[in-house]
Amino acid sequence: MGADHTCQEIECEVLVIGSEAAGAKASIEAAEEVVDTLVVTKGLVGKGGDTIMAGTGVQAPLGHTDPRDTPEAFFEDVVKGGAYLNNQKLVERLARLSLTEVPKMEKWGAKFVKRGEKFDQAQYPGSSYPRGLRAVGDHGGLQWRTAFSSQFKRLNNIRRMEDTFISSLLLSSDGEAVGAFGVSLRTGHCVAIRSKQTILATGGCAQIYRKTDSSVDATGDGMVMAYNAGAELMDMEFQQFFPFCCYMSPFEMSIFPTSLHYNLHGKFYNALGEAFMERYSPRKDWGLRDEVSRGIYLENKYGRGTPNGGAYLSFNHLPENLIENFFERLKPSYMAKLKQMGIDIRRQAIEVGPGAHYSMGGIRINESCETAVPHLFAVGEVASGADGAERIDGGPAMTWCFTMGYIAGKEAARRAKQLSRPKVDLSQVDAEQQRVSTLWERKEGVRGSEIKNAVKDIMWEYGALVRNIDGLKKGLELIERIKADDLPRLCVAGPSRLFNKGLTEALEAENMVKLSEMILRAASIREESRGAHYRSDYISRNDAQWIKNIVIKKRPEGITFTPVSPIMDTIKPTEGRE
Amino acid sequence: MENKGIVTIFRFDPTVDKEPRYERYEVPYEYWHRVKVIDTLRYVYEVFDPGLSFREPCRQQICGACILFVNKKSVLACEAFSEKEMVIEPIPNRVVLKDLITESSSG
Repeated sequence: MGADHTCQEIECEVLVIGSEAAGAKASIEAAEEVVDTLVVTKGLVGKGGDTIMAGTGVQAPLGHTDPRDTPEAFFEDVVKGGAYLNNQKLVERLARLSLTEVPKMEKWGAKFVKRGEKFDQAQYPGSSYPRGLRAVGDHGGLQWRTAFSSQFKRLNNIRRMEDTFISSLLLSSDGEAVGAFGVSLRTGHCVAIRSKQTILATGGCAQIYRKTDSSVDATGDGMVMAYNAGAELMDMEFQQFFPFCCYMSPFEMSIFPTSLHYNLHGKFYNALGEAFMERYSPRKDWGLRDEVSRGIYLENKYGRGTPNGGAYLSFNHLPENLIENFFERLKPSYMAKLKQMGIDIRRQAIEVGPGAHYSMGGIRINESCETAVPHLFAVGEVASGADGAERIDGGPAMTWCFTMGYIAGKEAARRAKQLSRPKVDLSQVDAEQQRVSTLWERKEGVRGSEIKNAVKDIMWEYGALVRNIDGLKKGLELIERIKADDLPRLCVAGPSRLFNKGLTEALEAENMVKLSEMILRAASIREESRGAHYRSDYISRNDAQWIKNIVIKKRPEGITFTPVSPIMDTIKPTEGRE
Repeated sequence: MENKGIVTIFRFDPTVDKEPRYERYEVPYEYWHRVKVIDTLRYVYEVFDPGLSFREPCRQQICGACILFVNKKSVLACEAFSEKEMVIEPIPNRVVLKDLITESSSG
């Protein structure tokens, strides 16, 4: 066993778990305050997580395209879009901070679409004014990577640790976060990190669904770590689906159908040739994400779907030369992709459909991004409260990463300077080491990939776009069966300790099972439809009862789900339509 | 048999192997025809060989982490279509950490 039990010990002042938009921003902001900062990722910096795949938009109410825009208007759009479940104190702070933290990305090297000195801001569904700054190119993620990379090079007090799977947080005897435990995927050895302040920036959990356009990394690891450490989770029933995933073989990519639709205003058809979207959205083909996603999903339930389970997205109403000119001028790379798929977009439609895209729910934080666990912050998609029941379009997710990263980075650095070296309870390290080594040693049983596949199918069938109590119960029953029969036999089949995907997927599978249970149970409790959560047995929004966040917490007696009122100190729901 | 694809994959575990070796797998039609190289690799990993190491973070041709040498050409495994006969290797001139994973500089 010898080498297996080697545990590398590392120390830092501020530990950031997750290296992409939110984590990169937090670590840079902390390191600027001259604290020893360590950023850890389970993949490669700049190549993992969802940031790299982000579209071009990022919201900030600079008023460059329309001077009427203000942080107050941004705040109001976000809270209305979130159906009043947002933490309004948090949204207010983020909306104000976006004025400095978004343009800062340009100073760090990101290129934006501009008109002279001003940012060219675009309007997306859910915004009252054109507010979306746009990164140059097809993928904002590449611009954000360039910007962060320049800062990582500039600052010599940020260490980056790649290919390291963090599996749990370490606590002091008083329940404060004092570091983290993980496994180096490169060597198979354990890693115990001691830190004065810890920031979770591990992203969302869209991978729990069969169809998703998220990174394979989006398995919600940070949510489960925080929950196990005593932090609260919130709004887990709100998971966003994006309607423009390409459903044609090979299933992949949401970027170019999205861009085509946003630019050329496509039309959706079902298998009968009906322009069906008017059944699901007053805005028809220009509906919000959840309306359009649900429409496509339901058409398939009714047997009117396409061969691959989606809808036809067509641009045939436009003259062929207009489409050609559009591609030549703006998106020459898309034509090549469509050709590879065997699609002539001038005459044929693309099959598109919903995929899990983004988690509104996550770790409950206050307006300083603090969790309920002392010395532990959460930023970006792993956190909740900014979006409420539904995130609006056009790039607020990146805005939250940049602004929350600023808040937590600065605050963690300030506090780290006041603290002495924390004590780590070694029995926790031993217990985690034991858990991981049990997985390593069990060579026969159920593999993480098998459990992940089962969870994805269960959640797609029973916990996705249209929910009802019978389906949710059935889903829960199946998840409980996995917990009882499969998790105890979870194994790591491959022989090598180096880059063993089986270990990564075993740890991820445990997290995905836990989060699926939370989502299904929270969705059963919320007897109404709101934002991304739609119950076919409770189709109306119920403001009298359900302007509540469902808060999830681990207690000695087990997991608890408690509806609590959101922090709603500025605007309240109006009568009738929002 | 006609429709089976033949995939030969470079394998190397520096903790036990002195030299790299090649493993050969037969994959059914639907796992090599009109699917991406990454899907074929995923099939081999899930069905035949849980020890196979490769990277696959974004699967949308953006991050670049899955770059490989397929039939002696550098491709992104999530972009290139699989072929009926494929030899899959790490891209040349990089230190191999395990199987298809090489030392790479992060962004």
